[in-house]
Amino acid sequence: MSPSLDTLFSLSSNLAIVGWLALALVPRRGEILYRVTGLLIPCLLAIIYGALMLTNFAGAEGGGYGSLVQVRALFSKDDILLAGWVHYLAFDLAVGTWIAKQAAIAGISHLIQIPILLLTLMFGPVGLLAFTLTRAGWSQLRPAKQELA
Amino acid sequence: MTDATLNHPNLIQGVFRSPSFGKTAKPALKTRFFAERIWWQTALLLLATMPVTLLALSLDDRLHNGIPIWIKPLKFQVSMALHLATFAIIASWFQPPQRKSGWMSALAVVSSLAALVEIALIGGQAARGVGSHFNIGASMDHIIYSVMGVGSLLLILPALIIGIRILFAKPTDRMPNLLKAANGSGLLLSFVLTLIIAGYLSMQGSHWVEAPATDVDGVPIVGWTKRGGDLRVAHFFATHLMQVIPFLGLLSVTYLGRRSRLSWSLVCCGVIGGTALTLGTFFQALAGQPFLG
Repeated sequence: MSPSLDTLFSLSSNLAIVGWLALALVPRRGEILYRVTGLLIPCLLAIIYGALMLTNFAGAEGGGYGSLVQVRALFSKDDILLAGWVHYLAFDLAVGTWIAKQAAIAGISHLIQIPILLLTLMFGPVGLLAFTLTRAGWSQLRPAKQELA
Repeated sequence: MTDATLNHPNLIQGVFRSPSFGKTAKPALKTRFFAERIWWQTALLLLATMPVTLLALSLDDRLHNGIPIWIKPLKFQVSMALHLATFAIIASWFQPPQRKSGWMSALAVVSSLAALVEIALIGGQAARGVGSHFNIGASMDHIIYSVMGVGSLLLILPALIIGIRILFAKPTDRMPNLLKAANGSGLLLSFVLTLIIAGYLSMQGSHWVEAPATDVDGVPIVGWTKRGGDLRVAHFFATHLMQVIPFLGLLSVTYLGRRSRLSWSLVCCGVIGGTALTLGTFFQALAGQPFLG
C-alpha cells in the first residue's frame, strides 16, 4: 500500500522541524550540522517532492506556471499542493542552513541567528532579506582586523 | 591609527569606535564584546525588516485610529533600534572587564529579546488589524498587551543598571568625568522619567487627554494630536533623553574638551532642559493641552 498524503505531509514536516531545531540549538562547530540540515534533509525532501510531482503533474487540469489562474488550478490538486509544501520545506531549510553558516562566518551571534532563522522558517524570503541587511550593517560596524590592537 | 588622531576623534569615531579622550592614551582596543554584539546585531535586525514593513504600509488599506496600520510598527522599529544601539555604544565606553562582564551580557540578552518580542507583538497585532497598546478587548489582546508591559520594563532595565554602574565607575580616558556625568545622568534620568510617565500611561485607557481618539491630523511622523493632550509626547522625550544627554556629552568632549567649563554647562543644560521639557509636556498633556497646536 502506498503512503497516504497525510503520512507524507507529517513525515516531511517532521524532517524539516528536526532540521530547524538542530539549526537553532546545535553549536556551530564543524560541518556535520550544515551537511545534515543543508543537504541530507533537503535531499530527502527532494525525493518526496520529485515523486509527487512526477506522478501528478500531468493530472492537474488547466495547471501551469503562466498565470495566477493556472497556478491555482495546479495547486487545486492535493498531491501537487503537498508537493508545493514540501518544496517550501526543502528550500527554506536549505536557505536557513546557508544563513546559519554565513552568519557564523560574519560573526553574527548564534543568539541573533535564532530570530533570523525563525523569520526564515515562518516567512522564507523575509528571513533571507533580514539576514542580508543585518550582515551588511554589521560588516560596517565590525572592527577591521588591522584596527585590533 | 596613531595616538595623535585619537586625541582628536571626530564624532563618528566617538559613536562607533569609542576612542580615548586622554592626552597620553594608548590606542583603544577596538573590539566588540558579546553584549555590544548582541545589542548592535538586534538593532540591525530590527532595521533589516523595515523594507517589508514599508511595502506593507503602501499595500495595506487598513487603518487604526484613522491612520495606516503599519505606521506604528515602523515607528517602533526605528526607536527600538536606536534604543539598543545606545546601550551598545555606551557599553563600549566601559573598561574591558565590565564590557565582557556577565551582568552586561545578561542585560544585552534580556533587553534584546524583549525588543524582538515587543516588535513581533506590535507587528503581529498590526497584521491582525487590531491595536497593540491599550487593547484589552479580547482576552488574547489583553494577554499581548500585558506581555508588552513586562517587555517594556525589561527594555529600559539596562538604563538603570548601566546608569548606576557608570556613576560608580572610575573615570578613564575613554569615559572621562564629563562623559560619566552625561551618560550616567542621561540613562538614569531617562529611566526614572520613562518609568513614571509610561507607568502612569499604562494605567490609563488611552494616551489622549480631552482629545478625539484619532491620529488623523496629528504632528507628522509621531502622530501626536493637535486637538488636546497626548501623553505620548512626554514619553517620547523621557525615553529619548538617554540619547540626547550622552550625545551632548560626546559632542562637548569631542569639540570642546573634557575639562572645558562650557562642556559641563552644556551637559547641565541638557539635564535641566530635558527634565523640564519632559515634565512640562507631561503636565501639559494632563491638562488636555496639545504640545503643538
